[in-house]
Amino acid sequence: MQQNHDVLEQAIEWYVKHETAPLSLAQKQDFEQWLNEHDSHQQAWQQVTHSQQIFANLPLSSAQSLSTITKANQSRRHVLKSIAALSISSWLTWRYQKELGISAHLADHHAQIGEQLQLTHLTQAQVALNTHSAINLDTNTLWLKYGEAHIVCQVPLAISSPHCHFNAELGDEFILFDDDKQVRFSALNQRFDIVAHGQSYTVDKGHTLIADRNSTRIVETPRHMTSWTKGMLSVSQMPLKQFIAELSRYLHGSIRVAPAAAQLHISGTFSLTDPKQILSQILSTFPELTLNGVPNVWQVINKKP
Amino acid sequence: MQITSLYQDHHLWLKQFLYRKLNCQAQAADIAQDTFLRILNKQKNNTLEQIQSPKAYLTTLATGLVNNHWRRLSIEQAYLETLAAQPQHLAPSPETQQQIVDLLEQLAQVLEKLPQREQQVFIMARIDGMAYKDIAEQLQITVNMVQKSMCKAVLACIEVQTQ
Repeated sequence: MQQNHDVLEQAIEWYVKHETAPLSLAQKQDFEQWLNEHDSHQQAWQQVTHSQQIFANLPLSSAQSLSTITKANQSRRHVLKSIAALSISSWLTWRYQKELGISAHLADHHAQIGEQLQLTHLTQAQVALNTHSAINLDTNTLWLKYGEAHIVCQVPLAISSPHCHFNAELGDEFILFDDDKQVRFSALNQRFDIVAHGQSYTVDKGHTLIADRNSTRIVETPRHMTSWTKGMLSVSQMPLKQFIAELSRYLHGSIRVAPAAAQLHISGTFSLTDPKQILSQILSTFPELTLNGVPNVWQVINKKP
Repeated sequence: MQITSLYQDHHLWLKQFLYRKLNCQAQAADIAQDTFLRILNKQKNNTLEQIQSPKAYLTTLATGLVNNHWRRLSIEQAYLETLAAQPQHLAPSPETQQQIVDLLEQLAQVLEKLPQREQQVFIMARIDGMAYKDIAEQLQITVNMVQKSMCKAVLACIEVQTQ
């Protein structure tokens, strides 16, 4: 038994090597030699190859597969009160934290997807949370856990988010957005000195710092970055792909834009009261667009040929 | 351990135990049969461990099978719902649908066996079809860690496929 197991592990190691990069000539020879050493090696190699190739027959995306499994697990858990699905839900927390909003429950204040929350009762600051956002707060620190917040300080505060930190004074007004992909900081009442991704920047009033992993730039604050504080999504000549990326922050599930449709441009002011409505507005404005997929899970916008 | 005596002494009792869980006579009988079939197979492959307490052993084995049964049913149901939301002309044949449910079932079992990091790596490599170096970059880990995770994941696949 142990010997079988060792051979199996060798076969797996070879398989993983093959997948990492094309084998060098020397590695190829080593592999051939190993393979021909014993019948059991060939059997193990076949078993390993087969065990992986079958997944090529799964015509679903990872999002579809996982949402199906999760849905199944949830109903199963319901029936069995089993916790067998716990490990899957932890993976999904990572992958679809937006969908599950689990960590939100650990925060002091949070806004759910599609919700905008005015926090007017706090002594430290007036805070508006945009869709899917959460903050923690103590007497002199405000921690934006994720998402987007419009903040007017009522006392001096240290502001901190996963990729950004700075000090704000009484009366300071700004918007901070932080997620896995991007940090955005809009200075609204005066000039700010901030640190984003470990670098110091000065952002003038009326300007926004946009920092992602590869690049950082400071631009005049685009309308759509502040319009949400008035319950609107306001854009001019925005590429459809970027527009949908903004809009999907307010919706459950993911929406992809096929390359054929990505070049369209959107202008207008849309009410965020019903974000789904915005999507149907766009589709009726551009009859050449189609929407396919599973609502609230994944959808694709394409252009009719 | 004599499987015949195990069967004679415990078959009825096991069927009742399963009936209480499933609330269906036919299913309880099926899964009771499957439980003993499992033991027979284990005996054939010389992987049958010493059974200290037959009742506990049978309960564990049968509960596992009931779980598989529910997993299968709920995945099938969830998949059909996913399918129903797709345009009609994209629906695969019933035969292909069964294959897909099989694969989803396997995938669910594999993921259940793996820690979070290995789950992520496996999904990205096998379902998203990403290259190891891209996975390493996205998860901010080394290619070597991706390889180690994949070794564990492939082993888990084989365990699921040969159980």
